[in-house]
Order: sequence, then C-alpha cells, then structure tokens
Amino acid sequence: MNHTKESRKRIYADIAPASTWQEVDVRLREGIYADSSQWKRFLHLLLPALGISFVVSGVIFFFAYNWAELDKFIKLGLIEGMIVIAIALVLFTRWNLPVKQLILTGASFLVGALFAVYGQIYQTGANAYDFFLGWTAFVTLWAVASGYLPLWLLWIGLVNATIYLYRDQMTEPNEWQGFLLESAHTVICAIAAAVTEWLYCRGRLRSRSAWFINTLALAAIVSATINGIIGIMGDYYFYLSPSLLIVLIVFGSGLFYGLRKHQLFYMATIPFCIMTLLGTLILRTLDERLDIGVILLLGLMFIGGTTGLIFYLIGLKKKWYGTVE
Amino acid sequence: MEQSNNTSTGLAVKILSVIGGLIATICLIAFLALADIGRSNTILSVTALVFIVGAIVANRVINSLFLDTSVIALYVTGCIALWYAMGNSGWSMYQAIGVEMLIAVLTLLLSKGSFFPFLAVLLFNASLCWLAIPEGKDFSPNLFLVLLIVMGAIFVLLNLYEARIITAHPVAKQLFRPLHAGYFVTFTCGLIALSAISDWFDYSTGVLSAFVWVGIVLMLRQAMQAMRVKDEVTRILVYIACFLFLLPTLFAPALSGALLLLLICFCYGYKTEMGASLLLFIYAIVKYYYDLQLTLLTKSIILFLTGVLLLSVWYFFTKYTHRHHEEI
Repeated sequence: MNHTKESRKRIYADIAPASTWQEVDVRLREGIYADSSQWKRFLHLLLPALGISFVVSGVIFFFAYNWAELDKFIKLGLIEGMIVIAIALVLFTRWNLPVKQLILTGASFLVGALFAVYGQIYQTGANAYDFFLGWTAFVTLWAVASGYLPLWLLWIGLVNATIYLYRDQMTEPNEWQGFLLESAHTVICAIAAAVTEWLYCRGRLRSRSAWFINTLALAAIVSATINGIIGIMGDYYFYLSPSLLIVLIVFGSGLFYGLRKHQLFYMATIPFCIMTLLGTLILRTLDERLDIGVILLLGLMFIGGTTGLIFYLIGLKKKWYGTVE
Repeated sequence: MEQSNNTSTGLAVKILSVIGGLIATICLIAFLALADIGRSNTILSVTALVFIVGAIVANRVINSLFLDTSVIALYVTGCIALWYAMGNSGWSMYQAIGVEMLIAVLTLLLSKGSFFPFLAVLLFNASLCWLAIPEGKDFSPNLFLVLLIVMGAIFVLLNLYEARIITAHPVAKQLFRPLHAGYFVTFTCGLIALSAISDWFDYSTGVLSAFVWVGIVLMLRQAMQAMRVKDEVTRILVYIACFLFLLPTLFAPALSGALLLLLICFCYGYKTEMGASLLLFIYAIVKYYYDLQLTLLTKSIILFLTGVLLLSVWYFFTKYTHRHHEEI
C-alpha cells in the first residue's frame, strides 16, 4: 500500500484542482480505497487471526483457572490433544500457507500453556527461566520450519525473557555476569535484525519485511541506549565497560550499514540516541552544579541537535532518492 | 525498496521532530518554572505569547521540515505557559479554554504546511476536552462522551466526504490531511482515556457505542459495495452477525471504536493509522476481558466460544468467496 500515499498526493495536486468531486471520488475509489481483492485478503487474515487468538486465549484462561476437580491427566491430555490437532491441521490439510502459519503460532502459545500446567500439577520447583527455556526450545523447530515472522518475533521474545529471568534469579547484584547479560538483549536483537537483512540481501526472503527488521533494530538500539544511560549514571565503570563497548559496536555497525545501504531509519534513530546519551553525560557531569543554565543548555541542545539531524536526513534523502517530500 | 524507504523516512522525520520537540519542551518548561520568569504572571504571559507568535511567524516565513522541532517546542511551551499564567491570574477555566481555542483557530488559518495545522487541531480538541473538567474540580463523564461522539463523527464524515471536501476550496484541500490526522489522534486518545478510566462511566457509554455501530455499519456497507455483494439476504445476515458480535461491547465503546478506526483506515488506505488502530484494537480487547467481573473459567468459555464463532464466520466467508469466484 506504499504507492497509495503517492497516488493520494498526486490526486490532491494534479486532479482535484481541475475536476468535479464525482471525478475525484472515482479516482480515489480506483486508486486508493480498498478494492474487492484487498477487502477479501484483509478479512481472510483478520478473521482467522482473531479466531485463533481467542481460542488460544480461552484455553490459557481455562488452565489459569486451575480447576481442582479436573484430573491431571485430563488437563494435560486436553492441551496435548489440542497441540496434536493443530499440528495435524498444519500437516494434513490443503489450507493456504498464512492460515497454517497462524495455526502454528497458536500451537506455539499452547506449548507455553502446557509447560505452565505441568509446573502447576507437579510443582517441580523449577525456576521461572526454566519454564521459558523449555518453551523456547520446543518451538524452535516450528519457527525454523514455518519461516513466519510473527512466530520468529515470539521466539526472540522468549529468548529475551529467558535471559532476563536468568539474570534476575541466578546472578548477584552488581556482578559482571549480570551486566553482561543486560547487554545480551541488545546483541540478540541486533543479530536477529542483521541476519534478516542478510537473508533478504541473499534473496532468501521474498520481501524485506521492514516492520520486522525495524522492530528488532529499534529494540536493539533502545536497549543499547538504556544500557548506556545506566552505565553513565551508575558507579560501576569497570563492569560496564563491555556493555559500553557493545553500545559502540551496535551503533557503529548500524550507522555503517545505514550509509552503505541507504537506510535512513538507522541514520535517524542512532544519532538521536547518541544525542540522548550526550544529554545524560552532561547531566552526570554537571549534577553537582545543576541549575537553570544547564536545563536551558539541554533544551537548546535537543532543539539544535534534532534540527541539525533532520537537516542532515533531508540532505541524505535528496541525495539518495532525489526528493525532500 | 527505495520507494518504501522513501515513504517511511517521512514518518521517521516527523516522529523525530515530535520526540525532539517534546524533550526540548520539557527542558524549556523546567527552565521557565525555575527562572524568575515563572514568578511574574505578566512576564510569563508575554513570554508565552512571544513563543506562540514566534512559532507561527517562523512557520510562515521558513516553512521547512527541519524547523519543525523548534516550532513544536516553542508552540507547545508557549501554550502551556499561557494556560498556567491565565490560571494564576484568576481567569476562569472557560476563559482560558476560549483563549487556547482561539489561538488554535488562528494557527490553523495562518500556518503553512501540514504539521503546524495538525498541532492546532490537537490544541483545539484538547482545549475542548478540558470542558469535561469544569473549573478543574469534577470530571463530567457525560460531557466527555458527547465530545467524543462529536470528534468520532467528524472523523467518519471527513473520510466519507473526502472528495467533496478537497474539491470544495483550495484551503479545504490544504487542511484536509492535518484535520484527518488531528481527529484520528484525538479520537484514539479519547478511546484510550475512556478505556483507562472506565470506572467513571455508567450505562451512558451505550450511547457512544450506538454511534460507533452506525459507523461500523457504514464501513460494512462500503466493504460489501467494493466486494459487489448484491444479495439482500447475505447483506442482512452480515449486519445481523455484526450486531450479535458487537452486542456484548455495548458498554465498552473503546473496543468497537478501535474496530471502527481499523476498518476506516483500511478502507480509505491510511497505512500508518491502520497500524496504530491495530495496536489500539489489541489493547482494547485485552482491557475489555481484563475488566470483566467474571471468573477465569467463565472468561475462558466466552473467549473460546467467541474464537469458534469467528472461525465459523471465516469458514462461511471462505465458502462464499469461493462460490462467488466460481460464478464469475
């Protein structure tokens, strides 16, 4: 639908001034508004996605209720039966690929419910990260086999949740392992974004799926910035030096890739985060003498920095795409 | 791919301008609060007016993308500072709202480009919503609902009559996109607020739901027209099915409102707004089931049955489209 906006602009600029509203209406309906095939595609995706989400949520709520009268074998059997049915539908029906991918994503959530019910019945005493680790391991094959990006996003989310809980439960505060694991979120998201870009460049993906890459890249950049802020504001310079090195590597690689591949997304987000880190550094350096002058300086720095950055982006856009619109 | 980058960059620049502008606004407000300027209402009012007029003049003289951050920071700081100064000077809330709305209208008429008029629409609607808190003491839920109905109705009408509006007058054409974006943001924020403070509202939310349902029926009519559904029985069945699905949301208009926004943005080809509507829709569903005063078991049954019903509708829809395809 990206061509849509350009068409709307063209209709507004070229057609609207010299046409009646009926003519413009026809052009809008033909070129911009959703047509029959778009509506069908939309409903063929929306209805099963909502249906499967509701059914899976219903199942999860049912087991969260923890019905005491229900035998443990029925509990586990029900959920395992549903997983088997879901996989059978994926393997043995002739339904189209998006629907099968949606079912597989639903089944992946059921695996989580299965582990939760297992822990509920047997009280295994396992840590919370064990639960997420098991869930991650058992949906890995499905993520690889389906190649479905929302399922991959779930998988990456599970890996991050496992690491977060491991750090929270298994490491002592202010230990170097904990600081390193904090950076793991940045590294995982950055690697996932880089691998997706690489697969696209090698022709292994049909389209670039900007939403997926940008979500991961943004997660990596934001988590790197948060780590940087913690590093600047904290007193653990020795432990945090590897984290700050990771921030430098991630930001440097992003800027290099953005310049090389003409990706303005990286050129917009990374310098803005660097500016935020600079602001934090000013605050940290002058926190003993924090007065209205420093606050005004920060305000002017953000106005000047953002304005300069936008000026630079507009220049790049003109150079790369020949437009400033 | 370049086309896609090109389009998304415009959005990235706008988001950057807004975030940069808002951070700068916070710093400027902190500066005004800490400096001696904040102690004198007269000096504060004059500073605020200088900021607002400066922003409008800068926008008119140098209407450029890279000035957006400065303009946003100056304009928003000016409006907040003026509001504060008027409150401290003993002006009534209605007078202050009137002044802010007047500034918004003047900005809308005097500004250039699309970003600044968008800010003006936001200021106008935010001031209008402030009416629901008379004298800053009590919240009036019914007035808030009326305002939300008006804003939602304006947004629907803007979409339905796009062709007529943009051909009516060059100024209308120029202001259409800012108005559209402004009313989308305001209605979305209104629905989020409604959902977040749902305890404040009673059964009167049903009135908003009724209006939203009318909007959804209009969108369904558009969809059926586009898909060339001419059979009367099918049309009536679709309306009945839709009514049955929406009936449980009678007192949760945020959910049906989010669905209405999603349908409108898809129907009229607004990709960015559609993404935002989808997130709002997911939030509204989660909030709706979270707020239900039922046991987890009852909730699970409702969720499961709703899912099965939706999958059944999808099954019949697939059958219908296959049959229709074969007939053609």
